[in-house]
Amino acid sequence: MNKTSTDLSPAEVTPGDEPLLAVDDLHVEFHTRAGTVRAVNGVSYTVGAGETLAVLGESGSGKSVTAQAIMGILDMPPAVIPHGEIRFKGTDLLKLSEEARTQVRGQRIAMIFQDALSALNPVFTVGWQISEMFRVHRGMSKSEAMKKAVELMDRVRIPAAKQRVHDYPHQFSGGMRQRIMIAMSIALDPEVLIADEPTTALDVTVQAQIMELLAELQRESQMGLILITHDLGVVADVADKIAVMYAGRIVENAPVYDIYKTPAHPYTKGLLDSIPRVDLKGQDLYAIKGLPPNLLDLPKGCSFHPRCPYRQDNCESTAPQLYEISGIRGSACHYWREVLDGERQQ
Amino acid sequence: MGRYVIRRLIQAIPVLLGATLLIFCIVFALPGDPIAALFGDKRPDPAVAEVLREQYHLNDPLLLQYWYYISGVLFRGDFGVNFADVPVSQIMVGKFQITLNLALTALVMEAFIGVGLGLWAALRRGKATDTMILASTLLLISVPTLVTGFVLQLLLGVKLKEWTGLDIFPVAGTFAGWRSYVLPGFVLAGTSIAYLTRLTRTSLVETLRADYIRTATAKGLSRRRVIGRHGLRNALIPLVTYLGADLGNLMGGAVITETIFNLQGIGNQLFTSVYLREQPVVVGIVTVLVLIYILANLVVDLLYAVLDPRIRYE
Repeated sequence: MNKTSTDLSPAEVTPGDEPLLAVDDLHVEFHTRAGTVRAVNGVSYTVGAGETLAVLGESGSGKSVTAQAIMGILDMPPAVIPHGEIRFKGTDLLKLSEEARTQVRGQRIAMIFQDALSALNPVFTVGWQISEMFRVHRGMSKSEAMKKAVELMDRVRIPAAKQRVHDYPHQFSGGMRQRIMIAMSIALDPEVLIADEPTTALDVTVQAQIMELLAELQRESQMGLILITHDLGVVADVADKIAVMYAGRIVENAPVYDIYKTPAHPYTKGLLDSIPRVDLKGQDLYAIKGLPPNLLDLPKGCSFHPRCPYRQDNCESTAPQLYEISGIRGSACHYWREVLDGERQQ
Repeated sequence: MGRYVIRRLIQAIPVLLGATLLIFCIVFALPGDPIAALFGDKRPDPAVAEVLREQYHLNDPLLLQYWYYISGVLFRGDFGVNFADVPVSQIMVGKFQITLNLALTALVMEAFIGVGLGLWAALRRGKATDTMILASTLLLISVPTLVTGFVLQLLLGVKLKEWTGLDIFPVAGTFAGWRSYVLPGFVLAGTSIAYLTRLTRTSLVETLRADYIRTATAKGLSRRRVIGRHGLRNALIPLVTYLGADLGNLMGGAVITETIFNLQGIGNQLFTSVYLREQPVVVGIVTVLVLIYILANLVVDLLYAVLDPRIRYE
């Protein structure tokens, strides 16, 4: 693939230990009339080629804002990035000019959005929207680009792609629309694909198909995939590692298997315990008590302490760092040992 | 599509009948006697008046009179004659041309100035330009046409010539070709320009908040392309509707402007005819205006389907 158009000097060659994409101590604030909303407070994660990172968290945890910061599609203002780095192959994207950033966006780092119906332009055909990538970024002619669009629609397995390329987004079903979104995002073989809740608006059966498709495309092209979701069930099969976010911080970092088996943060544990299970049918479903924190006025100390069953006095005064448990596992809880050893609720 | 158009045209018939009947009744209910008006200050000879009354069916019941009239229009394309025996269609033709010129001039100005200012304001939202544009639209909306008309006529039609010697805008009449329509066109379009500016601004601001704009940005498109292609195409939909529907308003609302600038258009004629109680002329003009309204709305609805693929007509 021709990448000369997207110059990422000086460090095009990835240094030995530098991952494909690294978010490093990222802070994002929104300056509003009501005050400063601290949406992201020091998030760090990495994703390598062919690797899938699932970012898990509830609404307002900062998972989407982090993704939008990587894409550079935050509205600034009101958003401000006071601190942090987003390194793509060693180059800090935040230090690039807007033009250089535009060259990365869509071509080398692409994104899929939650609701494909509203994320696709209603007045253009899907073929037009997919082929726009080739026309604008690769200078292809209309017919050439349209041919490419059909190929892509075939690749994401949309039936009768050749006829349907002239249809409008509203003429497709939800799952097919999300496939079109995916086709558009992988058009230029991006190295990193960010999927922001790609299956939230879909039926469960369709969800599985879409996840499968994403996993397959990733295997073929060795993309780094960042999967943003609030649904633990969705990511179990496809993710390599998971970062759990709460109140704009990563509270737990772990390979996917470990986190399901032995969560090391009270919040992760609460999330796992609140998944309905067939064997516990008839019992009350566990719920994390309390409400998500107010981002305008975060609790002192650990942001989770007002809702935490493991709370001790020092949780209210000192914010825990991300303690290293082993290798790539980390937990931002003073009492992660107790949590690891503790019984699951229920 | 074809069937839809036919259905809409059939639906237009009761609207047309209802509107004309209403106007007919209103004119009928006006105080005063048209035959007396015909004689001006003199008293008509009762016998002559009676003959005239018979001749124009003025002694027949209202509904019968309406029937005489509407059957002529529908079946023979005959709008009747006025009291001087001049065919109404002949009176209307030239005057409609003038009003149409005026309304189209206004419409073009509205489209360019209104949409242009609106887009400008939307792209500078919250900045001084935006505030200034919004404030001036408010001014334009609150000052009556009567005032803007006379003020602009004085400043641009009279004083500009006095001060600079340039004769750009004629004070009145239609002797200077298309230039005669520029000033009255602007006066007529005034409030519409203001409304359209605001509508355009809101429409674009709303559109730019849409998810598909975020997608377009994420595709790595330039801001110019994001706004110009993805944003504008969607933002234009409500504006076209407004513009189409406004053509009827402009034609019907030209009375004051035509009077100020002494344009012998349909508005002026309507005013005169109401004054003289020339029923056939009044009803004829209104009928044609209603027709223009209906057709303009139909065109707007069809345009909607062209602009927005989600709308389909069966």
